[in-house]
Amino acid sequence: MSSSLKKGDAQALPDYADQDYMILDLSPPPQLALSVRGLSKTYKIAQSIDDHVTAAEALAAWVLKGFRGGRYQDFKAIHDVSFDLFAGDVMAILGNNGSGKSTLLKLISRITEPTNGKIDLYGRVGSLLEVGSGFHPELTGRENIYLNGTILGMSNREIDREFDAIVEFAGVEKFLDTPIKRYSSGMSVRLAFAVAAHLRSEILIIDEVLSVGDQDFQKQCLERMRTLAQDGRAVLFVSHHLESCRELCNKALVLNEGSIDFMGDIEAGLEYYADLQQVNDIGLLKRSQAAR
Amino acid sequence: MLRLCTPASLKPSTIASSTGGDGTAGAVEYSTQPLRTIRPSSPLDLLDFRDLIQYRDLLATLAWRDIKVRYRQTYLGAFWVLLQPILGASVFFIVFHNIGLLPGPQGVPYFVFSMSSLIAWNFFTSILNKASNSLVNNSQLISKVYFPRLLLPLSSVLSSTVDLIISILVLTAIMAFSGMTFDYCLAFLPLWLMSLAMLASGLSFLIGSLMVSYRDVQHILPVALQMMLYASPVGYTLDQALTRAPSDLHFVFRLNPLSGLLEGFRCSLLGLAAPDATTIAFSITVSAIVFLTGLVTFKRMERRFADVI
Repeated sequence: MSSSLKKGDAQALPDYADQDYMILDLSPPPQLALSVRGLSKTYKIAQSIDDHVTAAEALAAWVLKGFRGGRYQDFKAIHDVSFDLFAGDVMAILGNNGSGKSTLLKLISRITEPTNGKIDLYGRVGSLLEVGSGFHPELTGRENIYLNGTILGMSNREIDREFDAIVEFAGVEKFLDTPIKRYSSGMSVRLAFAVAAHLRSEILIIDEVLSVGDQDFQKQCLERMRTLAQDGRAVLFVSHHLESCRELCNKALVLNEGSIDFMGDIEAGLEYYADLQQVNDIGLLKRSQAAR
Repeated sequence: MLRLCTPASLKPSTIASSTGGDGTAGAVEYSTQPLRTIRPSSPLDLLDFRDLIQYRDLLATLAWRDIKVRYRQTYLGAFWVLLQPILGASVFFIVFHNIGLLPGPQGVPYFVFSMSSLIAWNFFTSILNKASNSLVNNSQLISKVYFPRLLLPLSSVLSSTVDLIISILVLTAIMAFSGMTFDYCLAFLPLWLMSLAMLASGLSFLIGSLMVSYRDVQHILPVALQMMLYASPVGYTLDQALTRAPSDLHFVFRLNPLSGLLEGFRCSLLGLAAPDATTIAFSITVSAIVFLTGLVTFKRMERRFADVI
């Protein structure tokens, strides 16, 4: 039984009154955490090679073109994406490079603004698109926990409360008052992930951060993320490491050139993604053969 | 194509009759209404104060990072805050007083006079420099994390204010040493400082958001500031400027909003005669307009920061 929405078979939203869906969520009614409707993001990319980089050049080009806008090409990084995420869901976002995964996460984290559509958030968003954002090498471990924590949206009081847990998770007790620049790269990554893993937000967005750190630490991180999801958090997870997606997630969303190609449970999603890649490979093969 | 659905209609309420246990285990609580809706912003959007309040701890943390990092791995540490205006005032003393034969205003030693001017000037330029560069310097953060972008320049204002307070305390000590006392004018000090901060931060909102797209501004700023130092009554009083400079140049001092603010600042600290009402009104109005213009521009440019930086 699959509760999946495939591209061509319905150009409509997933129908949540549909029986297939209800079978997945039996006992407690799913609590909506995040809903995305008709989301698009279009970037303007300069068409000509003579891209003006200085104000004077831009002004000159603008005047020369008769005060009309420059020649730009639209690039649809995300095109008409709609989906819902419920409490306790851990959704893997799968897709090749350039399929719009990172843009989608940036839109939900409010780093960049949508061109169209809307996102309703039913809880606070904690997003981890990069490990150790804002870490300052000159500051000590202790200082960086507060800096990084507040940058990720925690208040000082929240950090106070989680401080011991963060330190323990990262295992850096002895080096708390050492500047981060003297840390090994593994240590600072552990500290950074520890801060993010103790965010109190209801919606967590995690992009490709498990590729850092050693095996043990990766296991520890996966374990932590599982606990967070079991507490009822909704997690969006991007990773090229398909095994950890399988282990951690219960749902999958496959993006292809900015649109949703597949949405459903994780096994089917991974299968779809594998097929998609195969199709792409064959396409590439044919193209290269044709070129020859 | 935009498909809109109200979240309420999406919730599978048809099956939700048996609401026995809470759907959210542990400490995680969701709201039933959207806490926030992200959509394309319109130019009419006002400043999001809710956001600024939610992230207030970040403002303090960024300012505190700025202060801490500045004097890490320096031998003299925070003493530099004390030394900078003293060294600057010494240079002015030699150039303007010893060589230029410029007297201080009545009853005020030239050194104290120039030091007080430099404290105000340093406050102005330190906000302008740090806040304008704050966006570009934190480009890594802007492209990877969300927080109200306004906090970056605002935190520079905060950290500059800390330096300002320390410098004023040093000046007070020097004044006490040369037997000077404060008078009632001191009560107006916050007014001048607020106006200076508004002028500087308004300008830095403009310059900073321009710098995100055009790094040229980074090269113009230091030159422009150097020119402004001499076009403002820092090493001399406004009166001296107006009596000694050819009348063709008076407009420079008349149109410079810093004239009134620097005069006012010195009048508050040193008990000098206050500038006339027109100058005061002009300076404060210009500062307020610059501040608001900067704020609106910043708000409008902000949405593109992450895409272009």
